[in-house]
Amino acid sequence: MTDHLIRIFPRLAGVEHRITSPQTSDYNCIAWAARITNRNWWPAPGYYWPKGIPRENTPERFIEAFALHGYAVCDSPAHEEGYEKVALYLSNSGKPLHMARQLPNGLWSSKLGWLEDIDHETPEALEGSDYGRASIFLKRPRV
Amino acid sequence: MINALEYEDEECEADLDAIHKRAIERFFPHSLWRHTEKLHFIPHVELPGSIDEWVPSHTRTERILILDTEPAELRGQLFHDLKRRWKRETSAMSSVEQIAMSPSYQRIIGLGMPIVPLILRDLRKEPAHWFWALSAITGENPVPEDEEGDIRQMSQRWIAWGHEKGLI
Repeated sequence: MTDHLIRIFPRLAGVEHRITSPQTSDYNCIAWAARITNRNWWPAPGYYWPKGIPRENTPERFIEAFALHGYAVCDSPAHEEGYEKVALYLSNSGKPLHMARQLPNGLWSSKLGWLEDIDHETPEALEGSDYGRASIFLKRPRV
Repeated sequence: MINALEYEDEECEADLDAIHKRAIERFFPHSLWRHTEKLHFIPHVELPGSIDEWVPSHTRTERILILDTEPAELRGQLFHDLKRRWKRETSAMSSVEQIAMSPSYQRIIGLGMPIVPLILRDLRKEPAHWFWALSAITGENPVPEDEEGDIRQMSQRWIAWGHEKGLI
């Protein structure tokens, strides 16, 4: 059932994961990390990007965008009671490629391009050629 | 206007093979080009002189075939094939830059204004990330700031723009 995803993300094969939504292009992974489901977020012309944050595809601008939602950089993806975390994936050259959001049970949730949302056991499960590496983690108090 | 077809020797796909075969049979029925690989349109190329002047030189380099007709039907099939490849290559990507810089997407942009009606008709069927291409080709952006990122609204804006311009 997730064979089409494992072809793209081979590391999924070794960890717990499940599809949690139909395919859609109504929102992308950045919006999903920010709990938005009717916009595509990206610092490119024509896409939603928080007002006041320069439209530059750099980790710093993503950190600033999520700071508006109460997030601050933290050390690790480890589950912490009372906190919600997001992971920012970067290419080898340091360009943002993807974001995932941690769920209250410690699993991670990602919107995969215009494919489905999935829950996955670890941020590393999606690392590879499409998303690079989960490199920066941010957290905020869970409400 | 003389249109050119460029071929490349990538992996074969059924649709492009069919396009190639029909183009060869139609325009070069007695040519050894029957045995060449693949064809891609360069719709805005205008070349001086006649086909007779151009084909021999490019035959030697095995790079370009020249057509002297508007290949609308073939262009439609090429668009369909490139779109399918683009969606397959970028289906899981989130980065707009990655999505727009895919080779298939860039080749669609390279097809220029004649491809815009096909993109708009495709948007009418299914919202997708065609906005970068539409803006790059047309130099326009009919989407107001408060609708940025809303793929469905953005599609509607572009479709309305296409109607206004008489493109669809």
